[in-house]
Amino acid sequence: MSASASAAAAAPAVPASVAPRAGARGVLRALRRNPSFMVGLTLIALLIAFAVIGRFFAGWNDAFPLSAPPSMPPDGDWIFGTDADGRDLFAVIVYGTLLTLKIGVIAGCLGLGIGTTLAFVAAYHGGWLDAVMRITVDVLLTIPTLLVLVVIASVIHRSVNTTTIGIIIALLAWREPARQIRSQVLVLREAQYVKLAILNGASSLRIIFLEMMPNLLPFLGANLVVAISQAVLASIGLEALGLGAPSEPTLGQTIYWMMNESAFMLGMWWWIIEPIVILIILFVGLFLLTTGLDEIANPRLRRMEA
Amino acid sequence: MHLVWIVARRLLMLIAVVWVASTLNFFVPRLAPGNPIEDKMLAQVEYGGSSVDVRALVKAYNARFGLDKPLLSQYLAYMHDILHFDLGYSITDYPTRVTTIILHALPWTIGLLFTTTLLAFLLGTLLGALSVWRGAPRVFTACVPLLMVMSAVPFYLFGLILIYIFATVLQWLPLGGGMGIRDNPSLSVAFAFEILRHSILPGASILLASIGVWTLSMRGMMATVQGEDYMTYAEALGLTVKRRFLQYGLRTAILPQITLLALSLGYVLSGSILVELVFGYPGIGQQLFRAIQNQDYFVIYGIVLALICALAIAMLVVDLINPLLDPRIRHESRRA
Amino acid sequence: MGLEVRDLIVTYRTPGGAIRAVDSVSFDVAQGERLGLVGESGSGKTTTALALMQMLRAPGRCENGTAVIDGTDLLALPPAQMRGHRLRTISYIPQGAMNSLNPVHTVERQMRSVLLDHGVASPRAELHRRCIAVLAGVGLAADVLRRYPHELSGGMKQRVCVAIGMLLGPKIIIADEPTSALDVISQRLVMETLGREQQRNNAALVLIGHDIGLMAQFVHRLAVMYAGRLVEIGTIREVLTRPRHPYTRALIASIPRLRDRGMLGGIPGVTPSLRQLPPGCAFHHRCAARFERCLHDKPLLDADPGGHHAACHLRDAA
Repeated sequence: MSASASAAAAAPAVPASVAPRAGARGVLRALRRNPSFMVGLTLIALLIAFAVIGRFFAGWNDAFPLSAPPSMPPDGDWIFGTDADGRDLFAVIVYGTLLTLKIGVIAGCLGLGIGTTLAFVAAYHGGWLDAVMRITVDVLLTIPTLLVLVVIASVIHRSVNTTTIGIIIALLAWREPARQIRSQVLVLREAQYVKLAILNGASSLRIIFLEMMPNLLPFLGANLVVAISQAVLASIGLEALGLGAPSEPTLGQTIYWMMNESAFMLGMWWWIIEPIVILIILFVGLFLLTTGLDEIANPRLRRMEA
Repeated sequence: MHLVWIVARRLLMLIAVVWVASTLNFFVPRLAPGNPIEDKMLAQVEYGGSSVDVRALVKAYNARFGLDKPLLSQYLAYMHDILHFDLGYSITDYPTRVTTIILHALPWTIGLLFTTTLLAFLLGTLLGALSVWRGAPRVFTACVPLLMVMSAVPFYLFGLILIYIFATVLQWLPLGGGMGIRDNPSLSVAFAFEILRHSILPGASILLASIGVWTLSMRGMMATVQGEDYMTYAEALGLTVKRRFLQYGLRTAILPQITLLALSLGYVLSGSILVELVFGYPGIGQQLFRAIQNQDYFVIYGIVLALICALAIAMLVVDLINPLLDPRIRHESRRA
Repeated sequence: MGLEVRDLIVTYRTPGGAIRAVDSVSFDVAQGERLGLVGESGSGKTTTALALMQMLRAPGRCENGTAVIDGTDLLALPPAQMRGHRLRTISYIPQGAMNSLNPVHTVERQMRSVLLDHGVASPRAELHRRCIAVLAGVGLAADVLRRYPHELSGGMKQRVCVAIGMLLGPKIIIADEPTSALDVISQRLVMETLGREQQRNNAALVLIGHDIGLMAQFVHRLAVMYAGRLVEIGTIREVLTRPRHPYTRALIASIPRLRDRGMLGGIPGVTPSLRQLPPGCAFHHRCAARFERCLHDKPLLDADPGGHHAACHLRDAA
């Protein structure tokens, strides 16, 4: 979420490791000594494994109303229980996890891709283009994502599905990566080995992909995870406000139904607890993954914690 | 001189933000397939009830923003209204103005948000500073991992858990709302207590989830500051621990922390909109939810615009605290 | 009287084992006397100073030693009492005064904090007068009080630090490379100020540095440290004219001279890592005069009746 993202945004731009590349083996070794990363990775892996394996035991149709007797607490037949509309909550949680991750990955990848491209263009072109982009990003970052998404989603939400939600969120998801990666590129461009490559007459593309990208990888990774996490956060916010895709059982949609069909009054604890637990695992996992990747991307942080 | 420049730059930024937000509000519905605003108004007319009044609204709307008008003149008319704080009427509650709805809900939101954000900022900052301070009790360091994990969880998920524990299972606190159904607003202690009782859970969920954010960042700043020469020198001068912690460590480490506060206000705001929704708290978030349910576009846009403006102003104010606290920024031009 | 340091040992506990950063260091400084402490970076000069003020950071620890002034052992004081003795008894003039002052308080506020925390409970006007007086002592005008550190030049900041150091009339002054970041003019001004203030207070002064030229002009006695040990100590004239330790000789030889502008005589080799000190004399692998005994027998400071001590086997062999 935002915790890590906003913290990363405000921290004074920490120069990336401009030291010579550590190589893939070095990265692997660093990962193993990085508990945040390992715990985060395990949580996310378990969650994905649960959803992927769960698919074999739950039919897509079971995640829709009237597929089961309503309001059943968990028992042998419906191990996660059913909701007030007669959805099998096991199927809802399994497919919900996948759909929510799908929104996150669509928005995260698109956002990171657009952001990185803009960052390189701005940092390389410099001058007015760079200034325009910097100001635009600064202004846009002042506007909370959720509010803009509300405006956009409110006019088209009758025709919305998880793919379109992902794309809508991507419309704003590029801002943070663009800002962060731009400053990293500016730092990297000053690095000795990049200057050497420029002096040797290497082409810009060659420098970008062979010299800079390997060093940016942990950084891009951290940005991708933050972008995914923020996209999931935004999608759940939209869904809780009633702007989600009503025909697809995402986790946020489940929370919306649960809140608006008085699960609290009815005391249906299983309906309340299940999506919340899954979402907490998801958010905490992504957060720890980001923290871990930040440590790899910024050795200074690593030393500070010691 | 420098301070004037900072204020001017921030003001320009504020104007840019408001312009972008209002332009977005104008163009998004017009770029959407069909014409959602007119569809909604027509539907409301057919719906009956206060149809006569809604017809007046439709007529007024068409006169100003009708499809026969060129887009530019529509836009200018719209911007004119915005600059005069005219956000139009609610479509579903026709004679009610959008500004009225916002002004009624605002005190609730500001009361909840201001108090909890300030409290979380102060507590989290203090805790973060103590968690790396040499010689502070280990307890503070021990609670960092827990707070860190909690900061990863969105506010409203905490809200849902708290409702379930304290309102459904234990039944100690109300399920939601801003006050009891039978309560009448009055200036009595009992009523104030009732308000407080209703704001404990929403407040706690914002507090629990955001303390960790401030703790983590302050921890980093304080670790850096403790390595500074002036901290070592302060110790060599025989200054008391209290003075070194408060006037040297905390005082300088809090400066970047305030920048972070400004940047995080948007996140806090979005989060608390959803908290209000979860608790049925009668603030702006609740009104936004109602407007979305009713497709009351003018109310949605009005609230969004008002929130973005309020946020931009709050960021401006918080950003101006730093020059006040940091003589290095304040005097930059004098040195040059 | 003055300060008597005996058998000071400081170790750093690291995962790879304990490191002796300061090893059995002993020296005296009389009231009114100036002792120079020279050596390469990492030889333990600053660590010695921090140990005397009980300001070592974990994993650093003072294992052994006494530092007696007026019958009080500074190293044996409980932390609360030690705080009172800092500045009042032992005043520290920092290295790199650039960042030593609190960036968000005015000079006056910082000076007042110091006085208040040392129990000087005078009325504000009285404190103000006292601050003006010490500033005048270091040649700074009273309007410096209203300034913030970033509004002062490096030399002014360093003189403010000297002024703060004199606020309580200390018995010992430790100046840790007080001129390292300054231009030549400011260096001279700061050193003059420091010397004058030291004489006024009749304080014992320890000047830490590596500039032997500066030492020659300023101190009465010189102590040379190498790899955590004191290798030579004596009057400045004795040490400079008749150095007894090969390391001291090499240090002196490395001072550039106007008369014979040849190659600078650097010291061959590098300082050994404290983590794996060679057996015997720590300098032997860089020493041209080494012989069999230096390889396994650690030399101790000898007891020279003239007060010029060195830790070297050469004289014993001779």
